[in-house]
Amino acid sequence: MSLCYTNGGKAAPDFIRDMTNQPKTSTASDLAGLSDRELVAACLDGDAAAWEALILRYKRLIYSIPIKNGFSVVDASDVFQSVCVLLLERLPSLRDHNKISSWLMTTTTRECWRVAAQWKRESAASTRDAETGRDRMSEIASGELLSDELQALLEQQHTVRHAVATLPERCQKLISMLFYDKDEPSYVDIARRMRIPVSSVGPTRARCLEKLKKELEGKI
Amino acid sequence: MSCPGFERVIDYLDGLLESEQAVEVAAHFAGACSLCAADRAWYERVKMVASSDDTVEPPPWVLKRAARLFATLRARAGVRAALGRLVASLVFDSQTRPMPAGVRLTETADRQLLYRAGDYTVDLQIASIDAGARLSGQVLKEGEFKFESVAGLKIVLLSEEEQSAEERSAVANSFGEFTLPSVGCGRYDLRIEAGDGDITIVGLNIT
Repeated sequence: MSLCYTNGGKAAPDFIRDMTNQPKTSTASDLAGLSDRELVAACLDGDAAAWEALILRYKRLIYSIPIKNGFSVVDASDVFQSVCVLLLERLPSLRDHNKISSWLMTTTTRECWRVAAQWKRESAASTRDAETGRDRMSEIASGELLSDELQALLEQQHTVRHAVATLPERCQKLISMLFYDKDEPSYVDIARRMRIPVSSVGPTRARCLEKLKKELEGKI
Repeated sequence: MSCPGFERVIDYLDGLLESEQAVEVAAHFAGACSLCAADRAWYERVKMVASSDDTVEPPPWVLKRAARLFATLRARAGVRAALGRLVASLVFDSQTRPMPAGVRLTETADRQLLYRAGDYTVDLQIASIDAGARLSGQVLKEGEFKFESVAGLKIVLLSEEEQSAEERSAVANSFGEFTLPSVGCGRYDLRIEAGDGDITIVGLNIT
């Protein structure tokens, strides 16, 4: 008499079998330029670096949804981990997706609902915002999460960040300073940080933006 | 005026041109050049999207923890794939227990069996009744005290001879306990449909 552990014919076995292939030697940064579809395929082929690249690509998108909805760092981190578990489990069914951002946003939103609903059940403590008087947890648990416009904006922000991340390192650095540095550095600051003449900043910026435009063609 | 070019368009939009050059570019825009209008629309759109980006990066430990998921699943998968199945041993069978010294015969109504599969243990009791047995048991998951993984599991008993025809099932209660009240004599497979995979006890003899 023996006891065996099987998987009930779900999608996982093929995936699990594939994942036992020899580990690959690439790093996450090597794979940053791959499409979602290529990364998912690499994950299913057992490439841990592809999984890391996928996580790095979508880290902000996933993490920002609970944070924007008032979750603490700890709770947002738990949502992040749950979504990653679901992503890993569902990779076989996401194999043909060109963009998994929509799936991730929906899944993260549902995870937020689930966690908030659990809080509502488990805790009698008030979650009412002292300033606005709004009960954030009730709103989340009842499905009043990010509006469609905000979700679309979040997806576009992800698209632009991802496009910047695929540019040559020099362009990434320059555009990050121009677009994302809240201190709005001057050309003199940028030239100093990039160790280039001030007169080169303008033309370099134009070349990098043209590359970005090409990268974003048809995406935004 | 011919098209000022991409660099001058973005310089104009960022207010970096000398006033004379800015006037020239503005005049060009007034001429409704569709090419430069497209550059302008693109740059304004991208700048708006980027400047409104207040997304937050998760702490490094969160990323490390998520990255480790892959290796964890790979390790588990490796065991399963290597063996084709995760085989666990029968931990305890009351029928094979040695009799106390001096005792010649003992009649026990129930037979108790204990199995282990991964993180799960399955405790079975087979009580003889007329022309068969009552099979009851409990599924437990290691390190879990609230029974959340084992409550509501479906338990299916399949006859080895005619698996589809001879199927009986039960649902575990909130403590992971289940009962199949009347099981005919024979040899069966017992399948427990756990959330993270099925546990199957193969060749269970009901006598």
